Amino acid sequence: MASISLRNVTKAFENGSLAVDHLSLEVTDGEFMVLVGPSGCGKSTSLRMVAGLEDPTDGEIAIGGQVVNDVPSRRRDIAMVFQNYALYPHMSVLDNLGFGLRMQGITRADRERRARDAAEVLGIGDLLGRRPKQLSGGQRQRVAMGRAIVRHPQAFLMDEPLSNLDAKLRVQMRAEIAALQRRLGTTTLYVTHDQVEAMTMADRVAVMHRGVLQQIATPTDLYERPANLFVAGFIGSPPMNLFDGCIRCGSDGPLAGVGDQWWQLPPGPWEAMDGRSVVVGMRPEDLTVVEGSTAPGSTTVEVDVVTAEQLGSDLMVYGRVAGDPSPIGPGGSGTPGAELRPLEASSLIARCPPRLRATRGDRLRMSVPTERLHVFDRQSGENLAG
Amino acid sequence: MAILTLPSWLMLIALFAVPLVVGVYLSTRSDKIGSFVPGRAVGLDNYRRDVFQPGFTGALTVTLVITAIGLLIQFPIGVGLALLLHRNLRGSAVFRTALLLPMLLTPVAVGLMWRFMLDSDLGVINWLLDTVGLSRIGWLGEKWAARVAIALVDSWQSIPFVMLMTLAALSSLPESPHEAARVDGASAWRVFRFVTLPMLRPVLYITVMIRVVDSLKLFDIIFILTKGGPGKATETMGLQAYNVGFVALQTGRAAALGVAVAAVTLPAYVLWLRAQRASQR
Amino acid sequence: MSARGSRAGRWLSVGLLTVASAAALFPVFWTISTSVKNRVDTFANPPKFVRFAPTAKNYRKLFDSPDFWRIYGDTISITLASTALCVLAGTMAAYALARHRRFPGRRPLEATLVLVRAMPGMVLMIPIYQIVTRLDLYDNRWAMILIYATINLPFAIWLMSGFIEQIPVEVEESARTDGASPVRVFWNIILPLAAPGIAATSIFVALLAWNEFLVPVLLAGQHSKTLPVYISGFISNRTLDWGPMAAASALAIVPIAVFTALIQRRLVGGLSSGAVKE
Repeated sequence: MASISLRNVTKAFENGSLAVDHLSLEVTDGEFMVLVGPSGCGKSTSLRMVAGLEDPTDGEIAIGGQVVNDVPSRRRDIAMVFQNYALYPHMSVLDNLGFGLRMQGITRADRERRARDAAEVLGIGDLLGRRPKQLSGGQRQRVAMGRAIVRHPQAFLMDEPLSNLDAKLRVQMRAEIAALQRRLGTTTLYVTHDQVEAMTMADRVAVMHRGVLQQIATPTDLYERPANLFVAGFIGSPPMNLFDGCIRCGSDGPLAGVGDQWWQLPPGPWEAMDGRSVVVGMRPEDLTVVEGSTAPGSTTVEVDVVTAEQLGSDLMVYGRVAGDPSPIGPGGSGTPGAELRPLEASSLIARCPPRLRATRGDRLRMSVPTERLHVFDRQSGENLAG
Repeated sequence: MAILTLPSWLMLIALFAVPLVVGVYLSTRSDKIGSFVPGRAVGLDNYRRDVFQPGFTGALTVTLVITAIGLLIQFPIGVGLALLLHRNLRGSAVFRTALLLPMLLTPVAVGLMWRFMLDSDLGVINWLLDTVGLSRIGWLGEKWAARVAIALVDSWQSIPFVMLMTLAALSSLPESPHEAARVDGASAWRVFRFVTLPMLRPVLYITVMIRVVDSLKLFDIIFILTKGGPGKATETMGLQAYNVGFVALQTGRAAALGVAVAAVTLPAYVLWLRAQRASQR
Repeated sequence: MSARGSRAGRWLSVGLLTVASAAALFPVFWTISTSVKNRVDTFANPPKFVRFAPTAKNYRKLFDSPDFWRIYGDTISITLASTALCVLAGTMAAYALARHRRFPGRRPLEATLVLVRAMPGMVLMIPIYQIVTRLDLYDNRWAMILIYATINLPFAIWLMSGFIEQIPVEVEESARTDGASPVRVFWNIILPLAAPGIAATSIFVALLAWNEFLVPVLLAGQHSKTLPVYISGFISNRTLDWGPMAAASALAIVPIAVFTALIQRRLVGGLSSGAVKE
């Protein structure tokens, strides 16, 4: 087992643009770290650099404390699981599992014993004689996993290993891989574009965007305290509601003005920011419909309903903040992450109880606990609550 | 990785680069095969005497004419057959095998057989023309008939190639634009003209180029059918160089002709290389 | 797959394909039928297509000459040796070209391959003839094997890189992370996976070698003469002996026809992969 560290790792494409831009990341011994981000954010490239399949342009990569920049892939003692599994089509499952061991010069008998053990763990013990072509997608996935665990490597590297599975199998394998990793305690770096995978599997999640690391945090922290607008918009489904506004500190305490409404802000360093243009965010699940006055410690949001979707378990209410003069519109204010806001005529999504009745034209009074409000700088996108 | 190309490089240097240099060297000398008088340097005399002369330009014209006739025969038929096979009618596999065969046969054997079939008195082709009421043709004995005959036999061998390339391209095309065009009310011809053909263009371009180059190289079939005759009616550049070098035994002059042939075909290499690099991107 | 044209259109298509196939096969049929005709039937007018008494005389004439067997054997051995050499060198180079966008000498190699592929053979054969005779290698099988292998190299590399490109890169990368050295990757992963491609390429290259005429007609004397040269020898005789000539031709092309029928699908797949690379 070993830690993996990347120090200021940069990868430039031939055209000079940066696929990975000064990435520093430390996966501690035994940790399950998920690298997540939209496609093209540099997450796969980062993983491939750790695997030794690509060379960093700059920076340092260490596995188990040893710098491996000049160590070829085969000597890094890591195991990689590929998106398309990359099973050896001309070998049986048994030989696929044993190939890595064979390369280490382990005797046939030992190879077979270990391959059988690994296959047993993954429930593919009865498939050892088959060729990859004769396996289902899920079985192939298990063989790919087996090929990784059989070697007891220093680390697992997984590149979107579940994205070729159907939705149901994906959920099942998600749990299995996470459980397996915890049992083996092998350091794991796992790449995915699926934030649900990231949230459910990881000890810690690293969010990347355009080659730049945005935030590393536990899933809970990432959700509760997104470091910036990008993370706020990327993590969570449906995404966080975001509104342009400005801060005003008066006798009523710190307020954020959005449209013609004033929302109370949680305690924070607002005094120094009086008049600052900000983006205010709230999660759809933090909005509750209230009758009458709002409880203390909460602020009220008036919402004009545009449409509502009945999901059975929830009612998703789409609406706009009453009196918001500059609703929505991608790039409306040029803030990073602006393109991630809900489009169309609604600028707000609220997750409400399924029994609620809401139709177009209704005005709903909703309340949000002030500590659930997120405030970001409109220019830099940074979370101002710190 | 470069090491993997080493064996190829050794072969290419020994049997392509070196001969090329030697060829240029020989082209400035008066060597003859079988002569006891050693050759001497003659500067550009060989070029003056052979290359910048009607003989060579005539051979060039013959080569281009045969190439052009060939293309006009090969492409309509080859593409047409590919379209028919692409319809996947019952028995397509059998037709495909049959239509493929000519490409693979020994050109010398093919040339001889056609020579027999094209014989003006005893040939089965003229008998056929007779039977259907057309006049017999002196295939290999008349200037234009001989050129057409060579282009025909070459086409018979190369239509399968055009067909295969087109077929491969057709099966790699997406189905939906065709369906969209049909739904939009386009006739079969219009679908082909405005949807299929434009999508085939890159492959057809490469195929034309390969066929042009191979026609310029054509040797064995002409050698067997006419040896360049009647007169010099079918004497292509290759045949001319052969006749000068290995019949008249004038090595130096033949080498000069060879260099000229290489120079004349230069545009074809450049186009080919460019097409190849374009398709890699 | 629904609208495949009207019934009449279908019949027209089948009709056209039948005519074309007949045109493609007739010369082969005619060769074989001429090879089993006696002299009178060969020159009969109207031609005799099926109603004649077949004779083995033409073949017997060939088989009785010890030359024929030696030449047939030589053609086979030259074909096999040059194919092995060509495909071996070609596979290695194709692997480099297919897998590595950049390496020293890539562009010159590509350019040279196109030149070799496109240059009329006579351009090279004039100097090669001089070199070969000076080195006392005239009528030497090894010289011919090397030359055959070189002229067919561009084709072999082109075809092989098509096949290698079809092998997913990840399989190779997986082997690398599994601890395989480059040699191991090539030997344990690439070669087995490219085996069908190597087979198809070998067959094609063997075909080209088997059919090659220009090289042996210039460089082969009595000791390395190949079948195409032997067949072409029939026309220099004043008498034009069609029967034995057809028999020799049939013996050159029948193995090809049989092979084609057997490996037809793989052959088409091989060429196609080259044709529509991206």
